[in-house]
Amino acid sequence: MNQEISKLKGYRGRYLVVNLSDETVSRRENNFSLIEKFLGGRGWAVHYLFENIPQGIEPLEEQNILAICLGPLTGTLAPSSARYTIASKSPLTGGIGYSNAGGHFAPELAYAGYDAIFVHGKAKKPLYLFIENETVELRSASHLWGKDTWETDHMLKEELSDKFQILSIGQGGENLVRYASIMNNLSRAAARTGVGAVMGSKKLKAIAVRGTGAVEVAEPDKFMEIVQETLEKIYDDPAYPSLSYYGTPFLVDLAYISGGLATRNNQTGIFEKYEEISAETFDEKFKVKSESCFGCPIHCGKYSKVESGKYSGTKGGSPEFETIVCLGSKCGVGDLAAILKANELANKYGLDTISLGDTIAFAMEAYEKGIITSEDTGGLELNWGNDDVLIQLIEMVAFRKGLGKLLAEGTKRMSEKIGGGSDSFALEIKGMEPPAYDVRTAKAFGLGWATATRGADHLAALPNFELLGYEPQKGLEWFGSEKAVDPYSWEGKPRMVVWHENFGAIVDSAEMCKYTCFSAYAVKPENMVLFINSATGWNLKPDEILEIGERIYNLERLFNLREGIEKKEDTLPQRFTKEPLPEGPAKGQYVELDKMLPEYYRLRRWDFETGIPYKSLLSELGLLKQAEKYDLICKEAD
Amino acid sequence: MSQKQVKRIFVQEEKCNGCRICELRCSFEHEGVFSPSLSRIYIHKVEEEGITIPKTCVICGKCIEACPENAISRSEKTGAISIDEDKCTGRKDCVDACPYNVMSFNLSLNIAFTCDLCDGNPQCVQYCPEQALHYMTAREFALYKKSGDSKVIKPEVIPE
Repeated sequence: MNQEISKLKGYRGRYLVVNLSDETVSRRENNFSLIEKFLGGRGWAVHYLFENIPQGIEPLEEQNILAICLGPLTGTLAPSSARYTIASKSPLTGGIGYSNAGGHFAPELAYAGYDAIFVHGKAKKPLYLFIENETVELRSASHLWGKDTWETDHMLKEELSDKFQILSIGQGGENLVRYASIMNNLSRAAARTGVGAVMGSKKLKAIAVRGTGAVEVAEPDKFMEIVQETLEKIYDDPAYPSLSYYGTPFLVDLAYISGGLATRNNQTGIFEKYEEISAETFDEKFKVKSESCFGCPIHCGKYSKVESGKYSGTKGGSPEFETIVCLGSKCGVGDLAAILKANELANKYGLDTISLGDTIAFAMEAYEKGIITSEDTGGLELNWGNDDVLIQLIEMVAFRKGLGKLLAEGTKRMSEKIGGGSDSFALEIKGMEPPAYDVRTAKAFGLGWATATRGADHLAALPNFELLGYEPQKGLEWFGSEKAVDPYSWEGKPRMVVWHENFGAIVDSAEMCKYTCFSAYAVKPENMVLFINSATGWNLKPDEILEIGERIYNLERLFNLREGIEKKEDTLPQRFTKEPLPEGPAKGQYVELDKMLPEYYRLRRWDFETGIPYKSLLSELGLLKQAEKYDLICKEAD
Repeated sequence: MSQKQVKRIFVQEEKCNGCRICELRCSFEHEGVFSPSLSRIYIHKVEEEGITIPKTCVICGKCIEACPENAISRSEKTGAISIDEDKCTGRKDCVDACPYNVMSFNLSLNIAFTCDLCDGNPQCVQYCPEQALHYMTAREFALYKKSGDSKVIKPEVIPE
């Protein structure tokens, strides 16, 4: 190991291992030779899970692990670097599960002096983890069990002090809803892949943390220089005014213009009530002010309130674009106040608004087609746009009541149960439901969904490049095709997706926000190394961090392969590949996945038949040992 | 200088989004590290109500009266509160006396600390992404509030 690596700044240098089964907590020193290979955050979490979770376990069993990891920039002034990753084996996909959230939790844990928390085992009765600098202990959470995330936040702050940052699950996680989220700061969600259900299965209700320490960087002046430079790039970005003022709801408008505003379970990309859910309506009627994550100059989060009508009194962190579409237009609901209410409930109960909305939309289509009837729904009429039913169903899911029992299992399992040919419109990949933007109008996103290691996932790649209206020349320079800038084109997209997936793994491991890196492209690999190097004292090169990203991505791939997720699951639901959009500016568009996948595999150096990474690649990345252990060896054909 | 000419930090809480960049910049400016606990400014938050209010010294001088060691005075250059670290004995009378809860205490050094206006160039004001903080005289701030410059500009949803 490089001598200098043993004393990297930026990191705190130690982490916590919690065992709920025997109620012990231990502190460990970071292994910096490992950090050197996986950086932190998502990379560290994935490595820990790969090494410590036995193959083939059920995700809600005691042997699953919840890994919470920070990065080398956490708690610093690096723009939007207050994120953290929570990972576990996913109850939705059975493969690698992770979710990433902002807010104010991660820096507080850094100031308390820890880089990560790994939670093993299962508590006999509900517990919460208390961290105040050097004091770390498991405490009874019996009084919190059954409470929603807002009540839990409130009660713990009353009990401890309002200076604590709280991360918790609601009833969704307690009742093992397969897409339950983990919440912090009331509206910040680590929502995807069902990490909340894993936390619930462990009977860990919350983590309360208070830290009064400091984070130091290795070269303060250099670090501040790159901070300043990056801030200027962010402020100068053409998309900045809109993203900072309207937040992600501005994407509702963008999706509408491109003909990809997912409507009625993606039956169409044109929503007749578009104006009622647009960014303008949100701003005029409901937005109160911006609500930022820690240290973020973009502040896409908004605080909103409903002042009149039947949803009067609804308040909190605003619905994101994903939420407005999945709980709105996908269900045919065009009443933004109802969507705000649905969002508030999902946050309180701790449910992923994407999977929740999608599963309800799936049920509505099954109802429309007569595959389920009012007999199955307990008399509820699951008609498109029925907001009363939408609101009722959310509570039924959180408490697994009536039809909620089935909905709580997610689209894939529900479809298997109800049958009747419903698999043809069950929108899921590897068991996870897809995000908002209809990928028939954004082909790189389509490929990204199919290849993402955690299932239908827009964030693994987040290839915003194709949506930003760049000049064709830029497409040629970056990804070898002028058509790469055209969202309807598939050309250049495999290269675009591989680059974004690899760099995205770094962004998630440095724990910076992808909006800083992939909206303004204000932080590219050459800028990211400046941040990491000046923070830690490291001497990384841009191509070296891309290799770390590739290593992380391939290890996730190996995790999925060893858990039995086969190559054939790198696919899209047939709605996106075989059913062209029926109307609007993108009429006739579908995702040409079969044109993109072979090139994607070639660029990845994965075998096209089995999906297994070539031995030569794994050897270069230092992952051969992991692959050999599970017989995942595939030699490159001559 | 007369009180009327003294500049201090004024806040427009309606613009503050609670990002706490001010806290980070402040602790870095004064201590060379990132630590909200060592910041001279902090954001008071009530998340359920969407409340985010920057809190920092308004130079009311209550701490000067409260200090039994005569360790606190006003800076001749800026009018900011100035604490003589050699005289401070860590009794915290100033902390108790501060009506705005912005006299802080460094436990490891056993001394009080508060905003020194960065000697006339407050970095929190420089770094606030929303221009929610202003280093002005009371009169300047009143005029600013009346002017159109104080409003948030609404951009096009989809830029050209």
